[in-house]
Amino acid sequence: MDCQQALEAISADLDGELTPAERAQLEDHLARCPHCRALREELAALHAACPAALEAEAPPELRQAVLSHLPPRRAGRTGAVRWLRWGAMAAAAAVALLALWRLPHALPHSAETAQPAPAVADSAPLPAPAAAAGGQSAPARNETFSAKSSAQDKEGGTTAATARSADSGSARAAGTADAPAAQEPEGDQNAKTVLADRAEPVPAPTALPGQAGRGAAEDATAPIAVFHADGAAPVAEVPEAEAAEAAQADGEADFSSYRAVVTWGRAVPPDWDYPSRVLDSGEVQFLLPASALPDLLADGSCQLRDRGEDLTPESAYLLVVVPAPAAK
Amino acid sequence: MEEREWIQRAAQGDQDAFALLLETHQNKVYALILRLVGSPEDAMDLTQETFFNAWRGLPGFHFDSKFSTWLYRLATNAAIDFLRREKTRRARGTVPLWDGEDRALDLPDRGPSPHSQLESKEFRQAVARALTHLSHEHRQVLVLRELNGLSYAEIAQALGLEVGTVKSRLSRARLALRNILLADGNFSGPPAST
Repeated sequence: MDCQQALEAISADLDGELTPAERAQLEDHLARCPHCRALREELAALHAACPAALEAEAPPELRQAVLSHLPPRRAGRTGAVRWLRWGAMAAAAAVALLALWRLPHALPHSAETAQPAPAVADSAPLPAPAAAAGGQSAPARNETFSAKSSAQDKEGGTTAATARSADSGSARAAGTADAPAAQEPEGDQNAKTVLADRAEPVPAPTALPGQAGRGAAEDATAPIAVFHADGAAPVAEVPEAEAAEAAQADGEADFSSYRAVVTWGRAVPPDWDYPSRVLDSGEVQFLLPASALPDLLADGSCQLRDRGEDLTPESAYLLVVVPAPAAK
Repeated sequence: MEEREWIQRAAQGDQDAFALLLETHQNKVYALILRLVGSPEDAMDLTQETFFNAWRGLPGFHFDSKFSTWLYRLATNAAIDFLRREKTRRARGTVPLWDGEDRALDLPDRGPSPHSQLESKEFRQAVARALTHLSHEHRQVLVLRELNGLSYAEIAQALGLEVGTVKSRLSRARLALRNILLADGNFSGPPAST
């Protein structure tokens, strides 16, 4: 072994990548070569110092910068997102994305004949199947929902949202498929109580073709139920099979089958009463009926981006409002 | 919940799970890119790009390698692509990545008086600075090994090299780093040994 080979052996030895035979050769060389002995000491010292010398902490704004700009998954893929209770959002945001998507599950149209969501202190029972399938979804760790609190009139913070949210028919959350009493966060106790008042269980699902998302994607013209925050009549209807599956899906909605994304550059109007939820990333998502989109597009505040091919008048729209990116 | 489950959930669209992955790995990814490209601003942009790519590519990650290795490969590719674009504006290889601002060299204090030169913040800064004088090839293998802890096989996979090439290149990178430090007078070598 010469000094050049010894260098490589010394380096490999630092990384534990030296075979016993190679080490024997190295030791033999080092015994005869003071230069390489010194070199080994120096390289070992550098090796020990490097990790600390090279480490760095990511800037604190990185997290939000990444999370608030994650593009939605392609239509057709499975995507599980938790729906929280409905309620209008008061939060204003600088940038909004409007995503057109198909709700894989929603409540059966029978909900329209049911009573409106309970008012603040009113625990009137919610429509049976609708209620059961209702939006009581355990908020994923960091999703917050002002609706529920306002519905129970607990939190004071919210604004006009408070009044509207009274409905939050947790139930209606079209798309929420949370089995009542599934996972439920401390904060949602009240909402849950409301749901618990309902008696009827969700109708048993009929045989369904695999993922709701895929099913929805395959049938672009099937109507979807979208409910206003006041729990009134649905804007559209969803096939019962989908609703049933939704109810079974433990509160997870498939956002992956969006059809179009519309960017919206202004703040959310405070009097909006569409079902919505807030993610920890700051993103606020609203469900809008098909009828709302033309107006948004007409006044120039929205643009259609990434338009899918199967847009239909019955499709539901998901408006996503995200906070403005932090200035770099 | 184990990371494997986070990965699977994130692959299905769970942004909260992805957030956990982000928090777990962001420092190592950022540091890797920072040491490869030099500027904190560029490193920030490229780190974001890396995580966007990870989000999009997650459904295609099938645990053939460690998740971190997969992530570092994305990061290294982002850095390499960036440097290629910058190549026309810089001399190749031996020109320092950038000089002047030392923000990237601003390392956290490791505590009260260091026991030896090697523990001092100044020395660590000298090492980080010396790194910028290495060639891109030397810097890549050195950072992936020393900062990210990849094995020779993993480095080979990340950079598209043979293991033997990684081995020899790494040894020369270490020698180069040592030579730069000695030349700058920042390295008096290890304590005298018997």
